[in-house]
Amino acid sequence: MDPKQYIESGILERYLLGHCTTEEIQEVQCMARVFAEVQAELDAIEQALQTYASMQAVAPPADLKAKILARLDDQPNAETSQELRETKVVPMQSSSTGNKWAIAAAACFLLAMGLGYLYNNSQKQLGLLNSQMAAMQNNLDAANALTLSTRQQLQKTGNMLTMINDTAIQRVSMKGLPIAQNALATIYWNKQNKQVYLNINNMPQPATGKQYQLWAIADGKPVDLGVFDITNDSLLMLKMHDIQNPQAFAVTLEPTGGSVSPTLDQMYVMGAL
Amino acid sequence: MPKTAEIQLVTLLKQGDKAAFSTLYDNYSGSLYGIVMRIVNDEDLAQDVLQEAMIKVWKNIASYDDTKGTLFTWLLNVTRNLAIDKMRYNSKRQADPIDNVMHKADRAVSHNTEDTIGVKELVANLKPEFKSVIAMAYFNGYTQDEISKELNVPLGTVKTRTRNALLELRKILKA
Repeated sequence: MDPKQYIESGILERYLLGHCTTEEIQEVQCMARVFAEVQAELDAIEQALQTYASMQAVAPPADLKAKILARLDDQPNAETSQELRETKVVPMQSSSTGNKWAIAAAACFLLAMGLGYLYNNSQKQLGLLNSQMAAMQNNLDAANALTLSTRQQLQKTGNMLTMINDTAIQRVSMKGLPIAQNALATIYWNKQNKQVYLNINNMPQPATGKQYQLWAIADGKPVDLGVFDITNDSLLMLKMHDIQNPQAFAVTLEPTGGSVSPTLDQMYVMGAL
Repeated sequence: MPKTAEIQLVTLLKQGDKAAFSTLYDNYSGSLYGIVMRIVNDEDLAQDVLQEAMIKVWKNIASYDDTKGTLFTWLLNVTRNLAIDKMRYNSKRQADPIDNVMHKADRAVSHNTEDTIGVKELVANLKPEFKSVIAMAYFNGYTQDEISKELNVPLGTVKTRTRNALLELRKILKA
């Protein structure tokens, strides 16, 4: 426990005013033994109370002192008191309460040792724990990111499967042309709502300042379906512009932003319905 | 009393030194008697209690452990407990409302005015609700529950008030 918080909890005041339970009394004594600042606080409060008490003092009658001193002769002092020695020893030996106290004292000692050790090493421990926590946080972040990306992948795979199995969807494979023979991209065209999704299977990364543009051939004329960039996500379904009655799809390489009409000698892939 | 003097005094007391006991009495009997008077509210009874308490201190000084608090705190506990027991025995305590006890105590005269008069005036400025919490707990030995009932405030308030009261008192005494 942080000694500062412990002090601020007000338990020390309650301790000195006799408002603590047996467990709390033990705890306060432990804490005071372990933490010098707790002991100092305890002393300061005690001192204030004592000063306050002395301000409320009332002198007892003068003859009372002599009466008391006279009675001392009849009373065995602590050093010689057999009665006291017995009452101190017997309960420890015979009653379970004695055992409890012994156990409590041992527990206090262990607690004090533990707290002392922890406190003395607190800076080091804290530093270590903090760096461990940071490392764990990083791991957790990485794991979370992985989970998220896995979930997204699953989602995409699911979407793709839905499209492949959807009878309204027509799949058009666009194969590589001489300019890029290994290139491949797939169109998923929905016959009912006319939506177009593009999946890039394999296309070379365009040079800077260049962008791919998707075209549909409808009524013998090229229709712009939008530009797109290459990502390394093979499951990504790019939503392109809708098209009513395509006869074929093709991709050309154009200046960034696309062109009004396709640059035919830069056609990379094409596929007909 | 300075810490070193107190340690020496306790050592002598544990050896059965009567002169040491006389010093102890001179130093603390006023504070203790003031508190006993607050609790029992009767001079004859207060003298009995102080006498019994002093004898008990003499007999049990061996059980005083200076690692667990100052000598005065121990003396106070011994004396206060005796006074409370006495009151319970006489079953007068219930019949004696706290206002009465407080009022009486406020009129009690300090016997060592020289070094505390300025501070005493300052302490008089302590907020009444703080004064009552300290007085009821420290001088009268009321439990937190009893204070809560007596002042008609929640237990939690008693707890926070106790800490604030002592912080305030310490501030005043330091000034």
